[in-house]
Amino acid sequence: MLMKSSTDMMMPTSILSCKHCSTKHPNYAYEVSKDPAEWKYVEHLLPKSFVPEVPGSSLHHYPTPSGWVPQQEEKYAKLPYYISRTKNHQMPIYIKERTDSPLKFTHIGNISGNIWALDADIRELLEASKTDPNYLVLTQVHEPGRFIRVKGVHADTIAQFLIDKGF
Amino acid sequence: MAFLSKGVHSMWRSTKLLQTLLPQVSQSFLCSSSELSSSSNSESESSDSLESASHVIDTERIRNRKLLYPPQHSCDRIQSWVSTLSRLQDDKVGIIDLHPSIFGVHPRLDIIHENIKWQQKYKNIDFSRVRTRAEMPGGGRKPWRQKGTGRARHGSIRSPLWNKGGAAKGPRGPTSNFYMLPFGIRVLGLRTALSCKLAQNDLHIVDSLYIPAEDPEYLRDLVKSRAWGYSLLLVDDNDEVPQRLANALQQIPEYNVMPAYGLNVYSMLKHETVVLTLSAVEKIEERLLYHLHRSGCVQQKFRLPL
Repeated sequence: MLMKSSTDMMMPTSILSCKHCSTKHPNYAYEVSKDPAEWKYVEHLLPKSFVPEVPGSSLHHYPTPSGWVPQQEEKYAKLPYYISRTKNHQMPIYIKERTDSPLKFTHIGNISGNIWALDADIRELLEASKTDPNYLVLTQVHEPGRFIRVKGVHADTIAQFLIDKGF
Repeated sequence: MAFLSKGVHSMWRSTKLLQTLLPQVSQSFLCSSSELSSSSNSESESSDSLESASHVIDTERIRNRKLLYPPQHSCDRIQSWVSTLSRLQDDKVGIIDLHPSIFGVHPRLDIIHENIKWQQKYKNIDFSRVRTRAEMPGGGRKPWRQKGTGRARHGSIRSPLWNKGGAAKGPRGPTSNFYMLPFGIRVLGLRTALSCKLAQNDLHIVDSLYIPAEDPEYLRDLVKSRAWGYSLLLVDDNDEVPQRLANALQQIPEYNVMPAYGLNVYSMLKHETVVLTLSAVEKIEERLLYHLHRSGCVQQKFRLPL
């Protein structure tokens, strides 16, 4: 009822016919505007239908306060494998739990290229960073599904490793 | 049965049309391209010349095509030739980029299998039904008394233990097999099927569905000369089929046409070759990329339309 498309300039008239605006709220003084220039401020509040693309590096200094960095092609260009980000520009690494046991594993998805080379690198990383000498690094490579599962919770370690690689 | 009778019918019609329509067809070959004159067997006047000559291949559109959500790194690049149905020989009229997340995904055979099984099952109603002991005639009387005969104790001749008795746990149709595949799996199924078809050289892109002749032999010759196999699925953005193509396809049961919104995994695998028009490619990419990049959750609970 409020709007059909952000590009159409039909919203000011439809606002008048909105059921929430027809009865005047006693506590607030407001006025109804038909100015298309003001509509863009309403658009800021409306949910977006698409996930926006990453703004250019000129707009931001990376890493952002949350620690997010974009992909760097010059770093990963020579590697035999590639990991694409999710549609929300996040790393496709998840901690999953089996339903029949409390066993947790780390799931790394969206892998293209030589998945076995990535598996070898992850094993090497985890072997080097393990603190318990009895800990056994166990990984599963699902070649048709294009993902790797690692036993244990290693999401942060692997994510940092992949960010360093440029993914 | 409908399929069979259509086939028989079309065979009869095509043999009849061969005698009547062949001259007309070859005229339009002549006017559409001069090289075709050698392959056609006729020399009469053309009534379709104006229409044939009016078909212009929009090379600007092919050249200026831009990908939505362009891939992030260049090794993902996937390209395809664009040919045309308006000429018999396989002239390439351009080359376009295809989106790698639609036409270049990993061949997940399990996803294709899930989609095929779902398409076969969800609209299937199982009508098989057998009678229980209550539905069988008779069986109300105890066949013999409980004690003293030396035989096993029985209360009814329609017990499941008896020969010609009722079924204990038989099928009790009609039963619906309806279920809904998760939305992401359906989207991935379409992407996988398109990618597999392209990788196997079974997916071709044409500028439009224009054909110069409505004789089915023209389409048959075209498919044969391009080695497109036995069956053909044409997909366009528009759901109005051009008149000539409709007339030609009516007589060839193994060639079919479908709008882009009807594209599905089963049909893509059923037909040996899939031919997309440029508009269909753009529509398919736009719709699938919308679901790959839209905000919010892709997987939503399916509700039957009421």
